Amino acid sequence: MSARLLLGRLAAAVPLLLGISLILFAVVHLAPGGPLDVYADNPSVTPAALERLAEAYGLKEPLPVQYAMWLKATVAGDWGYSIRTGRPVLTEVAERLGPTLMLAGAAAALAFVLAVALGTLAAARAGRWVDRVIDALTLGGLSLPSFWLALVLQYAFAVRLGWLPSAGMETIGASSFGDRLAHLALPATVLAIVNAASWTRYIRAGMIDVLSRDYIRTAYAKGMSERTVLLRHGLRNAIVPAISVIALDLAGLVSGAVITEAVFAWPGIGSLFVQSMDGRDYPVLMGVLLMGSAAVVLANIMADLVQAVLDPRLRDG
Amino acid sequence: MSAAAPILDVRGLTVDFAAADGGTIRALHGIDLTLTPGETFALVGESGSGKSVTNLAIMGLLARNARVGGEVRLEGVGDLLALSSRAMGAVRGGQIAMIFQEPMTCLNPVQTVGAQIGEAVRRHRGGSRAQVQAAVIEALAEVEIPDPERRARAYPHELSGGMRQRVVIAMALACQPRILIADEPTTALDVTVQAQILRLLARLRRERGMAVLFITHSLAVVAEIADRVAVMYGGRIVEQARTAELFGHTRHPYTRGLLESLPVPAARGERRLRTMPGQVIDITRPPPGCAFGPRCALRIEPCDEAPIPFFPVTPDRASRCLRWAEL
Repeated sequence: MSARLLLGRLAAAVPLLLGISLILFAVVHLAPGGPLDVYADNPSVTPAALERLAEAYGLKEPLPVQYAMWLKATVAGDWGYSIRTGRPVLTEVAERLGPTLMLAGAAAALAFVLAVALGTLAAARAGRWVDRVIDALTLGGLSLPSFWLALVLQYAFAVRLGWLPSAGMETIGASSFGDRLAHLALPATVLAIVNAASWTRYIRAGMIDVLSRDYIRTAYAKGMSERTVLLRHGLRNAIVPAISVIALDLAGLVSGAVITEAVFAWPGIGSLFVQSMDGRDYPVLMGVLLMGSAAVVLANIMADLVQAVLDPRLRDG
Repeated sequence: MSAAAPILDVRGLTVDFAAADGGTIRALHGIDLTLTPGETFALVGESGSGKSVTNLAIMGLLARNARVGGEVRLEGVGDLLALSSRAMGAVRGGQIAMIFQEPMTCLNPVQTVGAQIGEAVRRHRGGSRAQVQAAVIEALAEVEIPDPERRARAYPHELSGGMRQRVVIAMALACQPRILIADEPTTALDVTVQAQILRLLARLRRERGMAVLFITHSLAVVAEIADRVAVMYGGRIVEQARTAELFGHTRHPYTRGLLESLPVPAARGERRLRTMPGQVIDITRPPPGCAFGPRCALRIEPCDEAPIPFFPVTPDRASRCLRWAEL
């Protein structure tokens, strides 16, 4: 993909994100309840005070006006203040982005390695027992709800065996790289298993398709070993179609693995989302959702880029 | 059959495929053929006659559900069917190289052609990066690709069909193989490119003294390049002869049918294209006798009773027809 095409894709993302933000804004505000409901049953907050608060937050304006105000401020870099904590939304989101990126990166790297290894092996031995075992494993990985898997691993490795910490990102007062890694292990494993299960299937399917191609026979006819044929000629071709799916899953991880982060009390975007949802914290919700949407749009552009790097036929398209 | 010692001696080659119903389907019923250095031997037949299975069996490239029997003796190496997969890897591409029918699809789309040729060179000849690169450029130049340094950096989709076939040939010949197996290398190309590729192959064979096993369905191509020819039908060789003899006087009704189906100039009086009656046999239900029997105008009762042996017509040729003498 040429630089010009890339710029075109980025430019096209702008109206897309605008449309998404409009829908998100509408959906968030259509949900029953509002940010001031917490105070509604509080006898020490008077109706007059509620009125003043609604006025101050702009909640009395018609929805389109609220959207216009929000958009203008957001573009200018002012994402508003959290209704729950009173801190700037950008700060809230930025603080959580680091831990989420760390968790997502670790999980994705682990899942990718697993999926490539298992998918390639399954395709190379398609229909034989190794393939069937991998098929059963991936089916299991796809069927297990992540909250269940998270709870089971937490119980086994943190509670019963005591090998790993049960929750959080670090031990307060005793933080170190090893300590971070130990905290990361369980949530990353849960997310890796869930994603590896589906990626393995995509890579297996891609590989089986590729292995029937003429150029694979050419490689064998040149005297290449099966290992070389699989890794050098098969894998690169087999991964290209799987990239689109992997990119979308990555975007999902970055915009917050809500359940897994909640179970392990991981201070990431997912936890922030749950907390903001509970408190009807519109500004933060909008910030989180918008960031998630941007992640999806960016992931798609990244997928196109990576595919173009891997397959020269896609570079001029 | 030839005076010179054969470089490749195939004896009683059989191939059975495991069928989905648990049975087996015999695709080759005992193929015998020899290749001597410097000669071009053509295997000719319709789709499904077993010519491609023969070459894949020689190269050990058949699918896993194939059972191969018989012997494939390569001079100086021994029976290829008995080799370990590691030892066979050294033969493939090193001693016996192959070129394919589909130049559009038989190159890896995500690697430059230089990388794909270089891989074969490194595998069989080794050498430093610079040496491999030099061998790649030399191989491309030898197949008459203009501007080889630049072409080496091209991806397959950037080249025309004829250019890609030249690349495939360069890749096959870069390791100085003793035998080249060409499986319909010109079928997918248009006629002028076809002629160029055939001339190129003829020149390379002459210069290097390679033996060429040429697989084709085209008798016109056979006439142009082959020294000897074997006609296949239903997984057997039905007639084998020197090319000139075969075209001069065939000794098998199937070959005669093939020759008669060649388009001839209208000036010779016959305007309609002659065709052979009937269908190619279904190899899942082979007849007990002659495989060509159901389509043969010369069929007599003994033809259907038992497999027809290979009758030596002269020391140089043979026919699998009971009535070869009458033809």
